[in-house]
Amino acid sequence: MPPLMARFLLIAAAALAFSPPAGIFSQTTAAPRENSAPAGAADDPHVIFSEANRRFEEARSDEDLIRAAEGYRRLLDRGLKNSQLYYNLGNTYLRLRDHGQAILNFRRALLYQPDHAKAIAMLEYARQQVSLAERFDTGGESPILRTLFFWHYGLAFSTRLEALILALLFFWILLAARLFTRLPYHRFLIAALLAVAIALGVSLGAQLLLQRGAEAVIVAKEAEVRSGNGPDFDLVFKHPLPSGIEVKILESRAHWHFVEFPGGVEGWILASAVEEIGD
Amino acid sequence: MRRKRKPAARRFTTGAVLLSLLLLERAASAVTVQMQANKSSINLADTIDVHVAVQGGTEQIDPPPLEGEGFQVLSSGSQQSIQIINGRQSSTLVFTYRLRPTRAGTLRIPPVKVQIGGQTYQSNRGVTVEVQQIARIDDFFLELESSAKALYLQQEFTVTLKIYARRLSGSYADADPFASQGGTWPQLNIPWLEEMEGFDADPPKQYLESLHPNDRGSGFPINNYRWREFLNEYPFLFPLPRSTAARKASGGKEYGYFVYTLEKRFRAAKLGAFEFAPAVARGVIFVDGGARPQPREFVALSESLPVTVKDVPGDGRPATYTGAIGQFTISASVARDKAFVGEPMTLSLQVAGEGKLEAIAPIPLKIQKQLAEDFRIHEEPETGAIDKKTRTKTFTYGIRPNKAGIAAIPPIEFSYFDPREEKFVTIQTAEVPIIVEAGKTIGSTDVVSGAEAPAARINKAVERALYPNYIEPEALIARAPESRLGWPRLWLLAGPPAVYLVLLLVTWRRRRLAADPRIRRSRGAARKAHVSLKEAEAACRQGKYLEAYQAVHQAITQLIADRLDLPAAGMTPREAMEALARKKIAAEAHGRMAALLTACDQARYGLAAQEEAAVHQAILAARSLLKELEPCLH
Repeated sequence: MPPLMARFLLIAAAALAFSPPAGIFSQTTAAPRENSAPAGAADDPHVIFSEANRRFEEARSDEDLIRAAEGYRRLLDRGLKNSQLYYNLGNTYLRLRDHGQAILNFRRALLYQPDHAKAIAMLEYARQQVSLAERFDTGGESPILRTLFFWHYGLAFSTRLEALILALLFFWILLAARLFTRLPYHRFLIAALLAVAIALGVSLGAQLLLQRGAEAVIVAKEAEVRSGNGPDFDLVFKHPLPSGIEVKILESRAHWHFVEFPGGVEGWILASAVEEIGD
Repeated sequence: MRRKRKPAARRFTTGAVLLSLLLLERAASAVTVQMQANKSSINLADTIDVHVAVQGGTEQIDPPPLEGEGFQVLSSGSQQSIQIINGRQSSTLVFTYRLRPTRAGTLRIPPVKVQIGGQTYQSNRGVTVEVQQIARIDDFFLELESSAKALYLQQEFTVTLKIYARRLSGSYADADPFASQGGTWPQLNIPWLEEMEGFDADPPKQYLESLHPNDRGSGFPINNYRWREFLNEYPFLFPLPRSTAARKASGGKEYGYFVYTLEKRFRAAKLGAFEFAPAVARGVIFVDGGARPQPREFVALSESLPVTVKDVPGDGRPATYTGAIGQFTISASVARDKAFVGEPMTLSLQVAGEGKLEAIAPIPLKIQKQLAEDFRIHEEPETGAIDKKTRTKTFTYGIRPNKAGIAAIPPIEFSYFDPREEKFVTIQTAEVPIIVEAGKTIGSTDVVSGAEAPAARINKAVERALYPNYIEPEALIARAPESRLGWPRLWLLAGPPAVYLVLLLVTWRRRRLAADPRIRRSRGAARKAHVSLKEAEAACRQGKYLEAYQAVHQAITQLIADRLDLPAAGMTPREAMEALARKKIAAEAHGRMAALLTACDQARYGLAAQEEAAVHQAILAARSLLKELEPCLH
């Protein structure tokens, strides 16, 4: 019986390892498909969606793209939120050269699907347009640190979390199997998995502990940053900042946000000039 | 890298000047302007600090400009102090300018004028400083050079500082003529090393790291860059590359020199005349003298380096020139090499080379004659994408072939200005083979309008061609944002340890039971009793009635002994009944048990019925009793 139990545990582990990650880790809540509203076809989400797509595809002017963006926004306002719609909206704003809204919506798309490859690529493209690196000395850790702790700097939070879960799963399975049998390199495998789990756990814990503020994007075409929450305070940057710069909101007072810029510079900015990514 | 704080002596001097200015203040209500320098006599390699104190002004005051000539303002700053005495508030704003003289002689800075509230206030006096010339010495001198004689906007060039140090003779000929074993090499002060107005360069930190500074060993301290270890600060030492050269000294005699070289690349960013300020070196050099080299203190100053940045000539600019200055190559590629007439194709032009890529505007395709004949150019980029690693800039265009049979994208011309040759150069891409076929029906939206597309129509082909929007109905299914943890992940994190804990408890219990002989005996009692009854049945069938009775007896006594942990061998009916009595078995069952055991006992002595029916009856009775006793005997 014990060998049978061990065999069962190993088979279960293998099944988990080779099953698609989405099946294990993704969480979706299916919303009912909206049917035709009483107001008529114009309110049908499918009609709005098709019209927005048509305007985007056949856009001859900025006006067409603005209409397309309005269509996508109407759908999102109805609660039909998902990564595809936010991606479409971001794409539309990118063609309108509104990099602030484009980055905001690509970031929102990634909230719903962190591994959305197209959204990641377009977000990178939009960021390049803002040329963030030329405006801020973002510093960053030394290449040695980045090489030593490659998983911390190179892997997304969700990837590390999934790797941690898998490592722990195998760790517990091997530990359970040890109650019944001994496999080759059994103790070594257990120790290795525990080491991997500790490394990933510390990385995730550090990120959660060091994280502060709500992430946001400057959406105003030009935003002045001041040393206090009022128009009379000194400017922190000589020139107004363009839209598309990603910041963290550390504090909010009437009509003003205290934000942190890439590289650690802090200042006050009008609340209407930024939008939080979490909607 | 950080600059060293002011030395103590300088801080003391500055403090004394500020204090004296404050002591000279008059009543708080009046505005007074005082001007003072911290030195009255310097040499060309020194700097002076000029302080302008404005006392009494309550409005925001812009830094007043310093008039006069013969100096360069290296830096400026301000400091405000507010005093409240007996409820009266007064403020003093002190502007500090750090100046470097640019020529020897008397440096005169006239009284400074400050604008406050529409009124002009003038300091009571100006500043006069005597600037001494620095005599050039043959043992150590500096030279400043530029790699380009004529500079054009966006042109890259190298400024080189050469440090000449006369070699020692004899056994010291190959040694650096500076202090070793913990001593300090001459300190260099290079004003343009971090930034230079009108020019772009690598970030200071990146550039300084490329010089491989070290904290121990040998090298030149530069601009007082220091590093801190606990409470101490040490200078960074820059081991500049060394070569040898021979130069004639002032007396006409030729000497051997070590030449230490520092280079920095700049890119001209503004038109106009500029001057790279002279570099200064001061310290100790060892020179030949007597049996051993002798130390000699010195101060050395290079010439300044005037630079004029010109614009690219307006005459003779090719139509395909879009702002590229430097040396470049160009290549073309298409995303797909097969298309139908009218079908969009994505054409990429890649410009690579030495020069500022950011300054290169998209190459206009409509003026490329052959291309414009064969293709409709319907999307031109507003900017290009720069890859800093490969130093390339890519422009992406949307084009559509006009006719079938086009075999290639024709060469596309691109012009740049070569500042070395001081002329425009036109190059072209190689032909890109393609296949254009007729036969596909073109929809109304595919036809390129003959009219000029509106500016907004010139959208980036990159986004549209490579990353289309989602059009599938699945995009209308609402989803929840992906939680960082979420219940499934929580279950996967917490479930396995819980399962492991359960398994651990189960196996622990099993092993504990297996290790205790009393428990093991008790658990096997019923099985053994039934085995004995089966043996009794077999014996009965074979006519061995005595053995059958013995087996029945053994089944009963074995069960009682194993369950109650009593010795089984030789257990008498009386002992068995006493044991059952302690377990408070029902009286009726107790009686049947007594009768059965007595019958078995009598059979051993030939007193019980030795016939099959009686034996069978005894086996059945035993089986029934076992069923009743099993649950009670624990």
